[in-house]
Amino acid sequence: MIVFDGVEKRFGDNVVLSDLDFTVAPGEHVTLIGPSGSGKTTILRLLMCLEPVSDGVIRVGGKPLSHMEKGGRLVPADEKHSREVRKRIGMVFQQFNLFPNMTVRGNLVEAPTRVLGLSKDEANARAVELLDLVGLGEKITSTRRGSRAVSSSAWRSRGPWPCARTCCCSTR
Amino acid sequence: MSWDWNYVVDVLPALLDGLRITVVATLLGSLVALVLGLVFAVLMRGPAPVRIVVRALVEFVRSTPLLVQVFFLFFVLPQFGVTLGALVVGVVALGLHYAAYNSEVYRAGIEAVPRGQWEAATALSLPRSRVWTGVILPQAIPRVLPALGNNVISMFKETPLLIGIGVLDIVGQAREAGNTSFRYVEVYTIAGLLFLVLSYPAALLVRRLERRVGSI
Repeated sequence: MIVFDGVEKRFGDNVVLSDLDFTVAPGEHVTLIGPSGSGKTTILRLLMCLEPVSDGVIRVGGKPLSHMEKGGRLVPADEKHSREVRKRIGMVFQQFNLFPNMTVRGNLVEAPTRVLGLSKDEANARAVELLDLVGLGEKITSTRRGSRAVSSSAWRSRGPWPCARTCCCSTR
Repeated sequence: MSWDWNYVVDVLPALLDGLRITVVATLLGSLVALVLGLVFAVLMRGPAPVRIVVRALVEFVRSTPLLVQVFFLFFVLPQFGVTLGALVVGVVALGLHYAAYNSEVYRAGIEAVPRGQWEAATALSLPRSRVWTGVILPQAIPRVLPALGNNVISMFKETPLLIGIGVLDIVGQAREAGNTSFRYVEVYTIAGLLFLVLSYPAALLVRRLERRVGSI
């Protein structure tokens, strides 16, 4: 479950999000729609800790993301805490942001092995399984182009994260 | 003045020995410069106090002549109880001097990596060390290889400055031989040719690297 509780985001004097409250229940699919500059991407960036919140609290799976409990009260989270909570969320970037120095396999197994501590064999098996779902199993050692980038990016965000996956898209 | 081939044959072993010293100083100095330059570049993206100290050190080294740094390490450090051999001082001075320049080269490469790569690594919660070694540096370093190669060639051509502290590199050997025989044409011509023979192919290699990097 994801909870935004009175979240505010300011860039200088420019208030982008003000008193934002919403809840995403487990298994629920939510689409944010709005004009350019309305703050859709900012919400996702706050959820991934790519931007600090100016006010309010974000909770993921019951744990505060932007804050941590210390001495019975909430204080701004440090990097270690954010990393721990963020392990449970995946994100597909609008521009994919795949690592061009890695193969498709490298992109898929990087976080599971380095962050979640899966063995290489486990992570590789999972990567093949996921790529087979979209018919890209044989492309596992290739670099990323076009539709492969889309699929790879989507599967990279999936990994074995149990809690939430976010996706930032634009249409014309 | 005539060219004496017999004298050339006599003096060539000493000059080749000088070449060996030049190559050793360049290779070891480059190793120091490449590693230390990278450390400086990474630290320059660290917290403010570290960044300020490293930036000040880099600017200081870049703004003072290499010869002054060589003399400082060789003549001043012993007064503080640190005495190093001439070649070691040469390697350290060359390494430190070019590390400052290399740090700027690395910095340019690091800044050329798209911001989205940092964000993707952060979103995946990769450990900081892995962000550098697995994502940023593998993309940044290939772009700057030609510039780093040029710095190695520049260092090779600046090793004669170590004559000032008694390192007998190619030019040091040429000067010794010339001062003994008073035949300068042969020794300095050969010294120049030895530099050319090594630095020109290296420059061609760097140019090839440039084209390769440009086509990535």
